[in-house]
Amino acid sequence: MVKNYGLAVGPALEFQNVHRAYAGNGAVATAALDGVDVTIGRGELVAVCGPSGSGKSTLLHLAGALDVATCGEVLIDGWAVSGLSATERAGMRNRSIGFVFQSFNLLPGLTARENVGMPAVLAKRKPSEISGRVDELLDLVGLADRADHRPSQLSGGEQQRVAVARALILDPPIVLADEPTGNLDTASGEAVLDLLLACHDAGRTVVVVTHDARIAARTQRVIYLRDGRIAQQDKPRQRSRPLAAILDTSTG
Amino acid sequence: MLRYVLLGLLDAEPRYGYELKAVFEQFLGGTWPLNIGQIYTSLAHLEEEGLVRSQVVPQGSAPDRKVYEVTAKGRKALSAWTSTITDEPVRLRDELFLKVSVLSLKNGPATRELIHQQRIAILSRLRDLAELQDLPENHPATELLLEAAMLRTEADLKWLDAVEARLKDGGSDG
Ligand SMILES: Nc1ncnc2c1ncn2[C@@H]1O[C@H](COP(=O)(O)OP(=O)(O)OP(=O)(O)O)[C@@H](O)[C@H]1O
Ligand SMILES: [Mg+2]
Repeated sequence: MVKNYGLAVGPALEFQNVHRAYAGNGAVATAALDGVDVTIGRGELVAVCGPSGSGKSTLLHLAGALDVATCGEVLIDGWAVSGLSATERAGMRNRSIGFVFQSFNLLPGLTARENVGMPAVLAKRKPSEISGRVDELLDLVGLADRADHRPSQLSGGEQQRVAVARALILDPPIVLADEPTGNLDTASGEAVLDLLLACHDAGRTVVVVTHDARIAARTQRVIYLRDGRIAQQDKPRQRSRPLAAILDTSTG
Repeated sequence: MLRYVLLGLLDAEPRYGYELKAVFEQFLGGTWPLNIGQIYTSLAHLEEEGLVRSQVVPQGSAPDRKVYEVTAKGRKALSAWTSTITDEPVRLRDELFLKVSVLSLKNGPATRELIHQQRIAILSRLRDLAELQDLPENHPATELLLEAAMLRTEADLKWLDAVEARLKDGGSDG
């Protein structure tokens, strides 16, 4: 089911000379982002890599209108975030963004089903409108039989899948995921990755922050951050090489 | 080492020369190029040592085929090889390690540039391997090789990260 998320013109995300500084001790401010220019097209699948503290989460929060640039401009779906009020930013998040947090951020008192439906409740959707969609998503992430469990009764991988389902409840055109497999074992990580790849296959723009090179290798483009700047980006490859060209098992 | 791989394949099933070559290639995903001459030379040596024996099988109108099978002595040699624990020294003979090590003597912008370019190149290899892993027709042994190749490629990337972090700590070029 490929949905057309591309009716609007222009890129999904655009950073124009974006800076984000945090007030530091005394006069020194930390430059979490230090002049980032990047454009992410609609329907692209992009990884953001870089050492701890290089600004990956900061970049993703700005891309999701969870945070505002100190200077420069972030455009989401062509909308300049700096020109929006807090309420307008919340509306923009509801319309355009699904966010998967590094630490799941599920509400501990709510069941998986209630957590998945929460963004829809906050967006003032009628419960009758969304309950079918919630069940569909729980099924998609393989947790139909865990719907009534609370986060404390779920494994890390299951919680992260609930978080992915929650990010998709309002059917956003852009999905942003911060280390979605960071705390998971290989099999649970694969399951979450497959969900994100499916989001991309369905036509969404997907940006995933990861330190896992295997995940980066499954995306179309990798952006490397270093000290708040883009240190490098890889170009789309011309063609793939056969196994014999990259692996040599012969012995003398 | 080739002889033991051939013994192992023949132990799984007796084969004639061309068939053995095809199976060998499929087994290792073509990552060990061999010509038929090398196969026949190895088979001749193995037969001389009594590790395999051959039998001529008539093919009607087509030329006769020599089918090779493993002898009891061959099976013993194979099991002696497979049961010996491998403890080779770590091999870091490839060019990248030497290049980076030489550049690190000066720790200038050239080192950082090499690390950046090399990271892209290694990621591209990882992309190739990930695509190959998705192919449905891989031999199970090839799957194991792919897994090893991916883990080692990831290790190369981590090594570049580590080198970069060290250079940054002690760097003279800011
Ligand atoms: N709320 C904050 N207040 C002050 N400094 C912050 C804040 N958030 C982030 N920083 C600083 O900004 C820099 C970038 O942080 P960020 O969280 O974006 O890094 P990251 O690349 O996501 O790291 P990690 O891989 O560890 O998650 C760091 O130096 C961090 O200490
Ligand atoms: Mg982070």
